[in-house]
Amino acid sequence: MSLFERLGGEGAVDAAVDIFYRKVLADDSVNRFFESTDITEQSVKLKGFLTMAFGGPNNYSGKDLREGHAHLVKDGLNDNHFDAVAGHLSATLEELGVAQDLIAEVMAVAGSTRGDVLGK
Amino acid sequence: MATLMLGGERYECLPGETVLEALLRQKVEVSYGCKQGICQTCLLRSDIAPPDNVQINLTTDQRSKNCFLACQWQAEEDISITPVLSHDFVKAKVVSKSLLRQDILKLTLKVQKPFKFHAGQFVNLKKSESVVRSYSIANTPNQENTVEFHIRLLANGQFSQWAFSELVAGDVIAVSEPKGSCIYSPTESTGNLLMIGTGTGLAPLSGVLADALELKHTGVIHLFHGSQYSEGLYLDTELNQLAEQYNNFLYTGCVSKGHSSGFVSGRANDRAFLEYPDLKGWKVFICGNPDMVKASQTQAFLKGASCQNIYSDAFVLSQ
Repeated sequence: MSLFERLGGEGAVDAAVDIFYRKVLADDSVNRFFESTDITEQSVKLKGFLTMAFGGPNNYSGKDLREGHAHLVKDGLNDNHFDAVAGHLSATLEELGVAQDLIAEVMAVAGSTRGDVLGK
Repeated sequence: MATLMLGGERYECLPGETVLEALLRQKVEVSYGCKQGICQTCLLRSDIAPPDNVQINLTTDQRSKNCFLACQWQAEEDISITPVLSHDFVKAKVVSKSLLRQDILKLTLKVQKPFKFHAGQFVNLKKSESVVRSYSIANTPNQENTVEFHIRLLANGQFSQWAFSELVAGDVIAVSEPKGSCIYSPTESTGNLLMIGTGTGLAPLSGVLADALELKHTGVIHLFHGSQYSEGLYLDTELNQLAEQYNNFLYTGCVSKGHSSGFVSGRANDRAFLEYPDLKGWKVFICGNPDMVKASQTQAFLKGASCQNIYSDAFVLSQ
């Protein structure tokens, strides 16, 4: 079974997205990077991101991530912010009772986007 | 710099300039309204696929036809533009005008043909090709095909000044098809509804409220209306009467500057979230000032409402 299936597929993404987004918005060190767009739109974007991190079907490419975050990098997005958001993702999965080995796999996928997200 | 081709003519679009700004600068006659990507008055078509952020809230059909919001697209490559024929305006006759208070006009129009809409949606009203403004519908669908609007008089408002002083009963004006998804869904009649409105953001909310009550909503409905001063709470009497009539409807008038007896002090959104710290399972309607709408969306979400249960309508003021 793929990582996505083992996590519970789209249902797992739906359960995670609201919890994850709330954590991010409540964190003053990173919430400014999430505030510019409409809440519904942002939620759709995060769902796309989580689907990718969960190993599900997605259309994300490194180029998209790079271009999509370029304006945030210009505004100061750096490794600390990336780590904080990754921390919220991991805490979200723990809160949902996901097994540690699966969390590690998700965090590895998410971590692999660091270079593109930060424009390195 | 990008080149815009329109009607056989070439126009330049400078870096950082939107297609709308470029066309207006070069004296091209083009319809527009809010310039915020909301009213869709400046809708145009391109020969290439536009980026997602200039197609916000367009239908699948419009997206597939490369329609875009000219006020949102800072074109970086050459595009060929064609106008979108506006079949979507219908004629409506002014039935009545009355003042809800000194600077808020209740305008009632009768659309000349069957007009389907949901309470809470908005339409564009056209004074002329260059003066088109979005207004929320304040009543519920009816067999007479009448639509009501709450129009606030703005000091230099080209539409509102005209509506206040020149428009008379019997005049005919153009009304667009209804847009917007800030509406009541009768399928969940037992859920709780929180409504927050500032200024004439009350208009769509009063429509949604009337709709919910007509459809015998049984969950709690609490409406918070905010204004700087008590005079701005222009439906205070009517809403208090409704609150007496319906056990499940509550109304709180909020005054943000100074104190007025009979009203709560503070901003409507602050008071609402103070009273309802846990919004899990609630539907939240937020209409009015764009900054208030944005902040309240986030607050409602952080307090437990899920994204798809937060409906909003930001009111952008155009002169």
